Amino acid sequence: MRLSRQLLLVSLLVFVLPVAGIRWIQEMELTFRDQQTQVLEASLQATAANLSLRGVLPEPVQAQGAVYVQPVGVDLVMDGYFEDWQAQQLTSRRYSDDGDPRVQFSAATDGTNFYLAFRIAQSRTTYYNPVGVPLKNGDRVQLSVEEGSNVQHYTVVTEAPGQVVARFIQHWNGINRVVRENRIRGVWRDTPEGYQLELMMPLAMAGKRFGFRVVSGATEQWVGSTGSNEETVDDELGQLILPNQHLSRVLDVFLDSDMRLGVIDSAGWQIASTSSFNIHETHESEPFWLVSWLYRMILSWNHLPDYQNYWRRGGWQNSGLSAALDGQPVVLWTRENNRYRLLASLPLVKDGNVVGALIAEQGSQAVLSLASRSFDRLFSLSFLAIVLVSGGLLGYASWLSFRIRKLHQATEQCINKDGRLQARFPASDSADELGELSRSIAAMVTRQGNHTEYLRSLGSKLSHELRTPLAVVRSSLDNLAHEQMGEQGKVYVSRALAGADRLGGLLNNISEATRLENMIADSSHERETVDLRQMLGDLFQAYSSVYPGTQFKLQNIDEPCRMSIAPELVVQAMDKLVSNAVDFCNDDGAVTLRLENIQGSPVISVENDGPLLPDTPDGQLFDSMFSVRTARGEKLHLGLGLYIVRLVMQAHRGEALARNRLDQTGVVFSLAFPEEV
Amino acid sequence: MVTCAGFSGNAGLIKMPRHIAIVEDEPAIAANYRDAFQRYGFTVSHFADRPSALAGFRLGLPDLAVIDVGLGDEFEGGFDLCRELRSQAPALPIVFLTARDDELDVISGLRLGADDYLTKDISIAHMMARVNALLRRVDMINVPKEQDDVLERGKLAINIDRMSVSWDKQPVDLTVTEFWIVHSLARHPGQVRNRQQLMDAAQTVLDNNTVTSHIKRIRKKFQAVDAGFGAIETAYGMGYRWSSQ
Repeated sequence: MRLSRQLLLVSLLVFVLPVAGIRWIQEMELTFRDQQTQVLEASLQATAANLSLRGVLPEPVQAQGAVYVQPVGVDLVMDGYFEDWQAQQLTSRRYSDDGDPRVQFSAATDGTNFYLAFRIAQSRTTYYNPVGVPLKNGDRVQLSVEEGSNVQHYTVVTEAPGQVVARFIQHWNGINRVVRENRIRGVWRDTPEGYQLELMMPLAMAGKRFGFRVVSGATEQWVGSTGSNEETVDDELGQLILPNQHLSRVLDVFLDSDMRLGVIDSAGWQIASTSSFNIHETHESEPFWLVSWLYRMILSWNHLPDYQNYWRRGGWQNSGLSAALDGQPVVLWTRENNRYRLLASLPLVKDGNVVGALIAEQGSQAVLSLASRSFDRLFSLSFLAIVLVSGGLLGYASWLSFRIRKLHQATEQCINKDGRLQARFPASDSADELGELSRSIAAMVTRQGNHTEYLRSLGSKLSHELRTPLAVVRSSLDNLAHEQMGEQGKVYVSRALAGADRLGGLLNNISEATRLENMIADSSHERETVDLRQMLGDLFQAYSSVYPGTQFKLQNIDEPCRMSIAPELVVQAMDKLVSNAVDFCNDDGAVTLRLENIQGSPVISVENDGPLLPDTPDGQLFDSMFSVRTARGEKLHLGLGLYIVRLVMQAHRGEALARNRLDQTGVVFSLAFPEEV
Repeated sequence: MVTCAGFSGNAGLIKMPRHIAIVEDEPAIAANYRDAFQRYGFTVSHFADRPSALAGFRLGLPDLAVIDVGLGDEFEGGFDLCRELRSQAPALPIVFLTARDDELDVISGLRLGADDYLTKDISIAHMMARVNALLRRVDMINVPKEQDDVLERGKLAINIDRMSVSWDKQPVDLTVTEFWIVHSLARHPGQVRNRQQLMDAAQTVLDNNTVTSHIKRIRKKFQAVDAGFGAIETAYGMGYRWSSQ
């Protein structure tokens, strides 16, 4: 795996950052929620204490038969339809006398009027028959209202759907007569399920206690009433629980931003609440769905109960808050859309009895916005951090690998195939380990270069040093030849001379490569434009006469092939190749000289029949001192021939190639020149 | 240290004994050469280093100086000596003798005005021939002759007796080796002379490369006189020929 990829993998560790951030935000959110809970509880306790001091605590109520009158801000239209009730989110309560809740009832007040709404489910509606028993036939709704110490019963019946007015029976001079009470009026409307009745009367008329019962005209059975049983319904009126305006006003004092307060009585009905729902409905732009989804995933959101819309109107009965009526404060976190709502209730205690509970609802804009702000920041910061760190690491890795690559290339390039120093190794100046490595490689390369140079010049130094003693030997022998000596002595002298000659040749050979290298370096600028075709022709003639025992063939091209070369060097290379070819050529074989033009590049080949090339690594044939010959005769062989060929071709930016013939009858050595030297 | 040997032997070529100075730091070689030269009838002085040689030359100039390039600790003391000697005696024939045969040494040696340049592994017979040839040339220059043996090839004129060459009537200053090479080529125009033949003609045992560099230098010397000089042609693989045109 490349270094940059490794570091990129390592940079994935940066993702720990957002994870840690998320953990932190979660902790923070929980802490913040705890804190808010505590603050709210404290504030509730203070409020409760204050309420208690002011003596505005509600009276305990008898849950049985109580009728809760919901506050309503607007006039309700008397039309027999309940859309306006539903629009005000007024809750209704089911009543039943025979176990089957068939009566739905709700009551409301706007402060002056008392509104009643009945919805009765029954299979058939029986209308009032005016000639029947007065007010005791047909489907009817009886209202019991406390007037002073008496209870006045009103009956709402109708001969047909439409406007209705309550009637009651008045004892007047010993006769009962049906009197219309015009203050209680409303609309009767039939529905597919039965009928519904919307009534209104002045709130003042309703008094403190109230009861109703619904009687089916067909069966004369009660279908629902506020009373606990039929016997007592006339006398035991339920309590009419009206909104406690005074308490509400007191609560307003404790109102805090983002908050609303309410008081429920001991039956769980909300009897007072702050007038306005003081929660800032700031319309923030909805965050991107992914971010929003992340919020929910990250914040402990999903297990929170949903906020119920009817809680807004005070319908706390099934909210869990009413558990406070048992004496324990309750705190409840809920969620609504993208918001938290904190609900809390605290029991209100009067004379040791729980008379109700103080309820608070607080939006938790703060928590959410804080979390969201943190989250946004975390998100962007971690993103930035990740990008920066990854980018930084990637860049760093690239830089490192660039340096390593450079080092690698420099190392590869500075020593050529012969193990000779080709270029100065560029040592780095940087102080880090790579710089040290580079410097130590540079030092190593220099040492290696010096050593190689020493070895390289050893031959010529040696030959130079040996030449002087050789001259002593030779001149002494020459002088000796002029002295008087026997025949045997002359033989020895001639042998010694022959030995000295061989030694001289050996020394020449040893320094030949070095001399040739120097010469190549010197003559690289001494180029001449030469016709290769003519040159090969000359060479063919020359070799034919030099090696009379060998058959030469010439395959030249037709047109002149002019090139800028150093002809002496090329001829010298040819000499070596031809000398080799002649040595290896079969007795009845031939040596072929060939000039070809391969894709614009001239190629001179020397081909001979004979044994194939040994199985050696590529190019090793052309190495210095590499010989695959078996010793042949007296001729000195140091394996420099092909090395010189390669040097010459390198000087011409060309290539020296060796291969076996395709038909395996011999070998081909080629000098491939570049298109233009 | 000056060793003077008296006249001995009878070389017979020259009437009076010639005086040859050998400047060589290797005593064995110096002694061998001295013996050889004496055998051929020369008077020989041997100097082991540059200062003693200079001192000796101040007393009297030899007829010919054989100087080793490396003299003791002085790596190129021979070259320095040659320069100083040349300033004293512009006409004195100087032969370099050295174990170093690198191209560079050849060139710098000849540029300093040496008349010839021999490697130490030359045989004594060869060396004698070269020295005699040099001395002969000096004699010819000094002694005017009625009728010289002159070889003419177009613009080229070779005075074999004086060992002088001119091109288009302008003298070309060649060393002995170069002279013999040019002479060998020009004698048979159009005929290829291979390296061995040229070496034999020059009576030297230089290797192929040295022949090549000699040819190169000869061409340059002629080109200095005539930029369009192209009479010496290369026959690749075989040698060189004098253009018959």
